[in-house]
Amino acid sequence: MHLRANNSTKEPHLRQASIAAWGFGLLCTVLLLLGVPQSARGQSTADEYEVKAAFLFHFAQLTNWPAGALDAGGSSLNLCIFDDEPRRQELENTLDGKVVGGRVLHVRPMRQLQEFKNCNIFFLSRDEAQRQTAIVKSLRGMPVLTVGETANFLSDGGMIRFHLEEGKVRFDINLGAADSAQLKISSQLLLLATSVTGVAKADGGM
Amino acid sequence: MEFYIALFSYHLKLSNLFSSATNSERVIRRALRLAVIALFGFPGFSACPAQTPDFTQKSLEDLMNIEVTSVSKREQKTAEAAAAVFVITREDIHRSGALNIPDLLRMVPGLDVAQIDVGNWAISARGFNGQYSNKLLVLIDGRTVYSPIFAGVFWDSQNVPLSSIERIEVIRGPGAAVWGSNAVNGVINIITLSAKDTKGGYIAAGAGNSTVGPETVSYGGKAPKVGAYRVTAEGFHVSALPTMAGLDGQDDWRLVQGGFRVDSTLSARDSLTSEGDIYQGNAGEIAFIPLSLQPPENATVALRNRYSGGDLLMRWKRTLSPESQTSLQVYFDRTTRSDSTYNIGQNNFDVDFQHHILLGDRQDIVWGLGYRVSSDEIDPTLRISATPQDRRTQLFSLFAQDEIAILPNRVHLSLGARLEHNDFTRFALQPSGRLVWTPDSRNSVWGAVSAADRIPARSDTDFRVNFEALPGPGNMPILVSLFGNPNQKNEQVTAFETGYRTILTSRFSLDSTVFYNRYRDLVSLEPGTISLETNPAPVHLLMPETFGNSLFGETHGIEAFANWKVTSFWTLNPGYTFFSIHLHEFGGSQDGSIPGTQGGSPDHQAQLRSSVSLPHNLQWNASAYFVNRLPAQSVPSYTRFDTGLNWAVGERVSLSLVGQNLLKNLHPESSGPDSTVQSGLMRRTAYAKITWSF
Repeated sequence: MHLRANNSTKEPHLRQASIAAWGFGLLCTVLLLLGVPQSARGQSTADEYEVKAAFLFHFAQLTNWPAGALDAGGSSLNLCIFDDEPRRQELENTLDGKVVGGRVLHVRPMRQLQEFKNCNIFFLSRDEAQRQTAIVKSLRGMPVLTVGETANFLSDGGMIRFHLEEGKVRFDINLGAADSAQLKISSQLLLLATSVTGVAKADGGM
Repeated sequence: MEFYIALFSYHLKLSNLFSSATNSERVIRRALRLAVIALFGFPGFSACPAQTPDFTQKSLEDLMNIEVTSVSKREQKTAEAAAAVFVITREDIHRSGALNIPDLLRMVPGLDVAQIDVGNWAISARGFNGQYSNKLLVLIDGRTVYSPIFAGVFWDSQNVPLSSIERIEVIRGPGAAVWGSNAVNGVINIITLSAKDTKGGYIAAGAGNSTVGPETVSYGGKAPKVGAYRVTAEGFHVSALPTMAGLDGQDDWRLVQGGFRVDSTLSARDSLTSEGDIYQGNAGEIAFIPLSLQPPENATVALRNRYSGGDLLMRWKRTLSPESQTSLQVYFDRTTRSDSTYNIGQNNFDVDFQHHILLGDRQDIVWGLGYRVSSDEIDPTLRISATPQDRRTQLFSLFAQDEIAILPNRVHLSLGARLEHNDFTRFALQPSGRLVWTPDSRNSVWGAVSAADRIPARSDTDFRVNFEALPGPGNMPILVSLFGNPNQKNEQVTAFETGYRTILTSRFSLDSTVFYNRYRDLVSLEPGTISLETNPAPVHLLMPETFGNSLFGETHGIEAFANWKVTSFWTLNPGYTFFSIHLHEFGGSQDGSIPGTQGGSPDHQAQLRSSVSLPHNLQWNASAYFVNRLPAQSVPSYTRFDTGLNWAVGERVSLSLVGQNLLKNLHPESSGPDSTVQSGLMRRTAYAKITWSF
């Protein structure tokens, strides 16, 4: 009943394991025969930051930068994030290499504030809230589309802020901040925004 | 090409993993190798494009209609936490095919999950496993389910419908500075979904060769002035397993449970969560018990554990400013358990206040106060009695933790401590210091030194358990009894841990931890002097054993796991745990429990989980768990293989087929010497489940 029990169970154990091994292999083969699943995602929900990355793609398409503002980046459009941005992976996977208005979109991880001169879009996820105020301040008036997530992102001077409503992505726009940076945000985007603030005459409205 | 290199190094890893392989281990290795070869051996396969859904192709309007899974900051932070953390997500739960929380916990690297019989499990991290694993703290939505009577968790009555779970956070190593005493070797936090995330109806029905259910009905909605609500009911029946002796274990287990959760927004700054449960269930067991002092003194009998209980919890969160939040939580928990040899009732009332505050850019502080009062009634029986019979104990606690950004986003130091006062051993200070260095976004290294105490439970200090009666000399019976010791001290650990996490490529990440723990004042069993006892009648000889604190020791180990996205549709999760323990006696102890403790936790554990997304909304999951033998329990090493197929028929209906324990029918996983029940032999099982959301 003690260690002997171990020995006596070994042989059938072996047989069963090798049956399982072949079964495993067989299943893999079946998998192959079924074809390579390209869109095999039975999920009705999606990763938050992959979806937000797609929003950023549309924001880039629906924003007009002032003449000359995009020259610094050459033929590319630079979306900057911090190099330790926790959502870097999702952003890179979704956006890197996409073409926006004839320019190739690149996700650029940055280490220091000084490097942000070459940025066209800057994204700050909610986990970077601590550094938010300093960044938004230093980019104020520069033709960089700033997109963030925290509650006070717009009041700090950011331009577009994501929020979630019943699990769906929504956004608010601070038009005043965009105007002072000479960025033209398309009316299509303004229509879809939950709120638009900083509009001349209706300051702080909606 | 990269794939083949990855494949090769993967092979190497497997070979290392099983380098001390026995026969059966070698077979597993072959199985894994075959599987990998089968998948890669076909030309063109590795060339298939890695594709995630391209959301940029969708219009803004479409994007606004996609529901996203939101990852909270705390969860996200596990990647940079200075502790050995593993999070079981909803997706993991869906894929696992598990029917209960213990089966779900098998996937956590470093946890040792061994099923004793149908309703009993031995679950522990870093050693000391047994039916009453007393060094692991378990919380459900902030409510402790660690029994202050038995020092352990009754897994048979702690049911949470798996469909209501948002995530399970498992922290290996001491967590006492934040979570409180008894979090000596780990903490399991079961966190349920907010009612805001469970709108609509949900019905799940399932059956298999050994189970009926769990059948689950849940409905969530939004009520004016109240907020989002959810009501859930669940019930199941699991049939008995054979015992090691080949007899019917008569341990079938049934449970019904009802619960609710309400999440209300009181104002822009205040939110309130209320939740509660009631449950009733029973499970059989076969136990060896003393019947009387006259022949036949003892018998092996079938007993039926009956338990019921309920709990109610409220948590009020207030945001004072973006940098400052408070939370006040109050709960009451009542549970009763009995069979024909014992009858206990237990009440817990707990108040917990926490304040989270960001001080400047550098400091993230959490501090809090707690008060718990526990009262119990223990009806005396021949088998189990307590002195005093009823007891009320109080626990006061105060804790603070400061996470300091020494170099923001590079080096973070976290210092914390908890001061507690309990009625058994008075004051206990449980400090912890943790440092994490994140040189870049792909690597992080952490180290921690922390202390934690296991405070005595009623069973340590006040119990008397009569094990058995024997015919003695001159017709005088002998009664063998275990006595609690009112002077029991805290069991203490000082833990040294270090860990490394790396994202090697966008597809492969690795998490590893090494620990060294030093324990002191561990519980020992000391034989006492034989004496004459008149009560219970007739006059008999008493052979007592008493608890002491005469053991100390060291453990060390390695825990490593990886996440490998082989292709866009196939994920592999290998994991490995090594564990070693050395206990010693001091002060002339005559303890004999060391071999049982040392040989009761496996030295090697390995796992490989695979998840494949197939066309037509099919998903195939498989997991293999290898657990080395438990020498003290004559449990041979085994490999458990579970597999399941999920099919999302449409938006609302899904089907799943699951097979568990497929490799070997009828093998034991645990037969602990501290277990009061006869262990069962795990059966090969299959079941089917249908879920409908509306």
